[in-house]
Amino acid sequence: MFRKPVFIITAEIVLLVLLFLVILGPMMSLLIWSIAERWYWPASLPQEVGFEYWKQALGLQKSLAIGAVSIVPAFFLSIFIAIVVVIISMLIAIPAGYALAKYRIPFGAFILFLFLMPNAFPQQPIFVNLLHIFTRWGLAGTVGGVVLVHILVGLVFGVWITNATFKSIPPHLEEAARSVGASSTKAFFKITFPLAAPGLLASAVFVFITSLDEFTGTFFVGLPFVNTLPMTLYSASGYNMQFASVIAIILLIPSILFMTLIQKMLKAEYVGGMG
Amino acid sequence: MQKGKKFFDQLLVFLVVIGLVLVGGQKEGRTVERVKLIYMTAGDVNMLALGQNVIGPQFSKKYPHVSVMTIHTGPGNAGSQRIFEKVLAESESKKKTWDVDVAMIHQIFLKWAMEKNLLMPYAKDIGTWKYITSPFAKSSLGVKVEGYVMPMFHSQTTLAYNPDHVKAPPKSYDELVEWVKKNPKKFGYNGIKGGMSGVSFTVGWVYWKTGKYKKYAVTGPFEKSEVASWEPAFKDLEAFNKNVTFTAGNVGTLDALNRGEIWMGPVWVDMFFTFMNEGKMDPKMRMVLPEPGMPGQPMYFVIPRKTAHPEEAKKFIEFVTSPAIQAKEIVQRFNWYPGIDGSHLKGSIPQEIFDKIYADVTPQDLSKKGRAFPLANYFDAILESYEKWIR
Amino acid sequence: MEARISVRRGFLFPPYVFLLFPAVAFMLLMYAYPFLASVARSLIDNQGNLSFANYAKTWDLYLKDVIFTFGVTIFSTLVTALLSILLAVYLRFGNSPISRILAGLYKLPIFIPFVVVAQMMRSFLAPHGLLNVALAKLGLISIDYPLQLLNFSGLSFGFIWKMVPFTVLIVHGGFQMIDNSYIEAARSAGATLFKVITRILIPMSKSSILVALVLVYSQIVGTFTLPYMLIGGKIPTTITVDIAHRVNYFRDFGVANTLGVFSYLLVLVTALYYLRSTVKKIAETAPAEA
Repeated sequence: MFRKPVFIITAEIVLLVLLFLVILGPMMSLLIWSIAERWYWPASLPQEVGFEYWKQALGLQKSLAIGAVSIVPAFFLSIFIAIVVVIISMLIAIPAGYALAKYRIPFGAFILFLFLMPNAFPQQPIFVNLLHIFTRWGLAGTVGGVVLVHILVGLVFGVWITNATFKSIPPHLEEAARSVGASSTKAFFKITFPLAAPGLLASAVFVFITSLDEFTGTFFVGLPFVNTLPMTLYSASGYNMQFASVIAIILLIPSILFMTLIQKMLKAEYVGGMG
Repeated sequence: MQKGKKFFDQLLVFLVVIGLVLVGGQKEGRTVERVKLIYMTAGDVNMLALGQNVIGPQFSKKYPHVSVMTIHTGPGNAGSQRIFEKVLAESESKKKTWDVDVAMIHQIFLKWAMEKNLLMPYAKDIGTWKYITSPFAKSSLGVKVEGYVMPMFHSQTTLAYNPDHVKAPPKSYDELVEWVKKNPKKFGYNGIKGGMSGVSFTVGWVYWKTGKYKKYAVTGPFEKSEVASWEPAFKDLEAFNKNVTFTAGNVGTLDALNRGEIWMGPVWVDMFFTFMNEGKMDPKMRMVLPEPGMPGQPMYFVIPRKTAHPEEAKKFIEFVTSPAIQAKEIVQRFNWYPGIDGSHLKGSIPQEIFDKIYADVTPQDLSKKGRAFPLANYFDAILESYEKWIR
Repeated sequence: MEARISVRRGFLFPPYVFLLFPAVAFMLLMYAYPFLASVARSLIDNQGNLSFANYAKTWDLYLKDVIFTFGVTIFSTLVTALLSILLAVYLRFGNSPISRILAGLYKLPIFIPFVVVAQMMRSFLAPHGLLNVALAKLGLISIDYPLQLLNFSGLSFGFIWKMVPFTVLIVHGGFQMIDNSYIEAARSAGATLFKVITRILIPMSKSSILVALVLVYSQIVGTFTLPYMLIGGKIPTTITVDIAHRVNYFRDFGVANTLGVFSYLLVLVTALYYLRSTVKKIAETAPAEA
């Protein structure tokens, strides 16, 4: 599409190196801390390394010497909750995003803003109120309560991104299908949906990650019985750098897996839809 | 790619199986009268590890029908705030029994909890009450709590310093002000937001400038005119701050000290030693407790009023405050000051541990210069004055 | 085109009500009450009377922090927008192995929760942290006068680091939906790359870009962990740190909720801007398509 003179190629390489440093630089501290057993100034790298914190976190070892606990149950609970949250959220977000994109709805702007509110208003004061309500309804300390909170904060990604996605699809495509006799629903599923797929899947990925990383609401509503990974991470993060780094790295895995899974499905979908 | 995918699938199955086994293993079988004790603790993640890996299992060995579930709410006053919020929400609902059985909290919790009558008096019923001599067990920030609390351990703030760069550590706040002028930006603290070590330093400053420790922390009464008289003290602090590096919080100060960015700063003794044990602080760092003193506070055990298992809760607290556990876990493992009177632990602690903890701050130092935080109203006033006069 | 977006009013429920109902009902049920309770609480002072005392106190003590929060948020959002559009353009047109590597690499920060980012940045940006030590080893700075980054600049860096990948993902998705034919047509008419970006790419994916920016903006305003760990008690600090301070030391929900309302107003202003321009867009696309 555009010619590639030599200086563009060097610029590309410079960009690559720069981005490598910027993105991976901070992550290096994470990696180093996860295996650091003894690290203080003036050493620029740890004096002693080892996998003690990893063994402790994975439940392979149970000692108090280093103040870490097994995170395996929390890990699986977090993933379970995230999956449930994604399914429910997308089921109610996709129709809402579609409706807001395709129809001129009275108070449409207000409705869109409604979803943004949990992110716009700092969470602590609101979630304290939510805790009191949930306790009255018997939802405090239950997985159900936590799922509801995650949907609350994730829905904005569900609705806003699907909304923007559907908006970008020219309506005449769907109209073309309908003018040759396809029903509304068929037109949607055969034309609009595949075209919107990248946006919808991006939306699902963000809901998943939001749920997996959600801390404040889970903390207030989930205590004492529901223990997710971010809660353990938050407790460790101020104080125990090594343990926090281990948890952080472990937390990366389901998110990355989820995303690659989605992208694999997406590639197939894309090819099928366009071909 | 296929081979990698297959490996991933196997790994996933393996992990799921392990997960199910571990999660399943946590559920106890339903035999006769099994009690699950919910123990909620504020503090750092080593409190969680202590509960889950040491105290819980040891307690269950002694009382096989009880299993302990340790929940952790996070460090600092924030952690105690959350426990309070939870217990308050339960008290406002119509639940017959409440979820939390035992809680471990900071002093500020008691001010809120006693107001709302959320706690059960229990301390005088248990065997280890006779080991308590500290005045902290009777009053917390001026709130009368006798019988409602047992101190689990005591922590003190001091000034930690790097002996390589600080050859003659300041022995008083006066000397500190001089030192900071000669070594700008080498002293660090976190102001009053984000960590209690900074708050403690500020409170110590007010005690020093006004000389009215007894009135502010012990007798009272609270008078607005006192607060108004603090303006010069805070203006001096504002001038002091100009030569200071601000850190983000307790850990921020320790980190900065560790990285050689600052050479001195207020720290909690328990965090200081824990950082050293975990390899995050050079063992050569030292401490000094400046005149006229700096505050310290204990962490307390409390029992919510409508707990489902009051007897087991009391036994648990009695267990952790027994001299054996205090000596072995609190003092020896963590190098913290015990909650019960130290004289009951003589002989149970190896001499080198004793030497280590009390090397820089001797028991005499502690009794002379270890202060309490002020009465609740003065405490609030100090925090708000800082915000008002230091811009 | 008007037919598609004509409103079908009447006494029977229009079809979109069923599509919207579950999501909206959920939000109203779960969020409306706690939110209104919070706003109400901000109007009740310590004696329990209805008044603006909390607002007066907040204005007096925390105005500097509100302005600081606004400054960091706007700055980070704008820089994020700029960098993301540039990166998205590169990925849209890039066809080399390098661009493919970058397409995978840039996504990494998305998966890292803010609390971990806070952790990383604290140790990376500290005066004797990884960045400064590396720069000193390269001889670019002296370790005795390191870059002081635990302030506005470090905070912005952290936000930008975390938000750019998120924005690129959405904006790039928007760019990908623009058919090559538009770009070919423009190129053959003699348009430069700059003109293609400003006349075709950005306008045609305007809704994606604005969505991303509003989401980024509100996420930044509401973040607690990053400012708490990088700046904590320094003056000035962010609204979220002040809220935590009021709640954890004073249980002062009056001022805490007032600060929340201030933060909410900051977001309201930008969101209104977005929503106004989308309404304009619906009117604009009609003639463009014809």
